Amino acid sequence: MIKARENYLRKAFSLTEVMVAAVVLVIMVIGTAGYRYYTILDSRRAVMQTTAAGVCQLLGESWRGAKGSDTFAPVAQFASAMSIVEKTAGPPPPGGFTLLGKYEVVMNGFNYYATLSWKDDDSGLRILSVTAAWPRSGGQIEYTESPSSNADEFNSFDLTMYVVK
Amino acid sequence: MSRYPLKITRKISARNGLTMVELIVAVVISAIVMLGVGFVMADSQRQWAVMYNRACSEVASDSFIATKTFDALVRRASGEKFILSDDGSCLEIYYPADANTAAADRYARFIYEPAGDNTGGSLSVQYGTLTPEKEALSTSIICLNVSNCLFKTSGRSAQMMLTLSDGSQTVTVVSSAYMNNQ
Repeated sequence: MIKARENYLRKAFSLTEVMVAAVVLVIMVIGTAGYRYYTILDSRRAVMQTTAAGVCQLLGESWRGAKGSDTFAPVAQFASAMSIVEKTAGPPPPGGFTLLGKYEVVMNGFNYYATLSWKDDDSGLRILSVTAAWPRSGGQIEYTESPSSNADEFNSFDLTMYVVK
Repeated sequence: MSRYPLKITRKISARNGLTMVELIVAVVISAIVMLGVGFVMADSQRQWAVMYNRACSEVASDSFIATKTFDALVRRASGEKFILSDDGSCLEIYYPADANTAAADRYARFIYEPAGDNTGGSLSVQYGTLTPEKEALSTSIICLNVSNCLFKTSGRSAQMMLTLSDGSQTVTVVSSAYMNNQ
């Protein structure tokens, strides 16, 4: 009989308790949303980097096939197959390298700015360098060098190859 | 008559539970939270499906196989000779069956066959012998759902620009390989 009386007298959840529980749930939902956002973002970044590596390989191996010729013209070679145009701005070539050209390649909806440069070494080899840069944010950002460079807004991938002169 | 039933009745009417207003407010808040959770879970499932398709769909795996096959065969090929069709839809390369010999006695022909619509083409490789006479041995379909494929050459390197589409996803992959560069 005493237990029965206590059951009748116990308190239910107060509004404060319900609201505290709701706030905890909201925090969990926000945390889950953040996790999901960064997962998708990283997945997108991985796709962009893989595509950049493919662009570097395409340009580099093609140039290497032409024996590293300083008259190699990627636009003439690939314009009929993909979107590629010559640009005046792009990632800088490594120190001591001679610039072949700077190009913008659009692939899978992403913009890549590629720079091709070369350098002859003393052992009879020509060093070919291909650098591709893409916006870190994943958006459509134009690479600029002047009046101010926005290079820090771009990620880059470098590929170096050697060819007998 | 006992006094207990009367006491219990009084306690029930005086107990401190939820009022109707509190209950409604709590239900509304819970409903909002549950709607939020449901939306997030549904959206997560949708995004997961998108990412899974991007990595594991037939289009993604086919593009991977196509580039790997192209890369392996071209790097194995002799750079002395190759044939590229005028429209860039077919590339024939020559390679030695025995990796320890230099003379090419086999051929591999990459063939892009577009379909009537824009998504149903195929890319295949035909393998064959060169000696004593040119004879086809087998043909393997590398990938389906090819909407465009173009081969090019630059000196001793060959390039493939391949676009696959299954209607919901379009992927363009490029590959370039230097001949006789295993």
